[in-house]
Amino acid sequence: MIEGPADRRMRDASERPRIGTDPVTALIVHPDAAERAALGAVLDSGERIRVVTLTDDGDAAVTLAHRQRPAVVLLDERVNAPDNRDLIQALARWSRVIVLTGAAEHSAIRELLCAPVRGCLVYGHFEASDLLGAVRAVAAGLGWLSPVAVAAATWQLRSAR
Amino acid sequence: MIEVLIVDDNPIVRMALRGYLASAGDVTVVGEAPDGRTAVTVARRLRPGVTLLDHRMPIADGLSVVSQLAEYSRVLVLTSDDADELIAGMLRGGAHGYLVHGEFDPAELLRAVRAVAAGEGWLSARGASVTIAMLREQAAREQEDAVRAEGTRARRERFGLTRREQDVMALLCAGHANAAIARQLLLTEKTVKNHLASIFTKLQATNRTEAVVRWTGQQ
Repeated sequence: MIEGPADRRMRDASERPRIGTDPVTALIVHPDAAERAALGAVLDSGERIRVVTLTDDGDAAVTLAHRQRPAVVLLDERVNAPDNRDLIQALARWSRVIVLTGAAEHSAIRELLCAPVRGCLVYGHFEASDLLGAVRAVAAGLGWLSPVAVAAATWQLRSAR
Repeated sequence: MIEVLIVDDNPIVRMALRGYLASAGDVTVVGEAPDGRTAVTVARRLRPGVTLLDHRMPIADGLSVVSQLAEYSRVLVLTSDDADELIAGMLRGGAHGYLVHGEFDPAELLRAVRAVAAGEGWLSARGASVTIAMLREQAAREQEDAVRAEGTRARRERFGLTRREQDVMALLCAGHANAAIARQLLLTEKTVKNHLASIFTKLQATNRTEAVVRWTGQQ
């Protein structure tokens, strides 16, 4: 059978993963109630993003991530988790983790990026649209770094030759 | 005012980039170059704040000149290629940002230019994911090296060589003859020989080669 351009298009479309039907699910783990709610509102305002749970408890977050398998976990690095000393590692078993931090120093960011995170947003350096972009990119298997984090990361790459 | 140099062999792309940047009040295009070699010459002369660098160009491609350009300007890569190796090469070569044509709008380009000019950086989603992976590999490598170095140190300690004998051993491993070792450590050749005799006993070696093999841990 001769395959015309139209056939090819149709086949490609059927093979493409069905982005756009299922919403990206997100779990928010943040110690501050007001900020947690604000982050949740921003994500819920995004098309095809659904916040499944919000919590301030790191250990509870691990259980929730295990049970609900959210596509993305948004984790503030100050969150406590007495039972999970390596909280990022524990969450990364079930979901893709984006870490939120107030640290802008190269060394601190470098350390965060050595944990199994897919993205790093630095407070004061991102807008609502960046938050949505980060969640979408990470859900799609890509990454996201705030400009300060990019500076820290590229500096680190250059310094180790 | 952020001064920008546009490096791309395609005049239509250069035109489009000029147009995007013209809309911003804080950015001015100070020069353009159609290939890597010209770009280096222009950048050396103009020292632009930011250079927008394409990869695939005639004469000299972007990757081959990125580290030279990075001496005169901060580099934001702007290309259609997003192969992991290219991203890695550009960032190791000194680029501070990486954007892929077709995946950004004028607003994102402007934010990227401003971030790079301000000493920060900007990465596309793929660039960010490649970068994070590279950092993690690098950290794992450093960890391995540290473990290996600790292993070597612990193994050597068991031989019980004195400080001086360790100095002799280091020069022996570097391939020096007794006379050269004596010169470097300010000893007589006789003393070096005595040290070697003691070293051979401690390492249970019968000759220099065996001693080196024991000490370096090669099989």
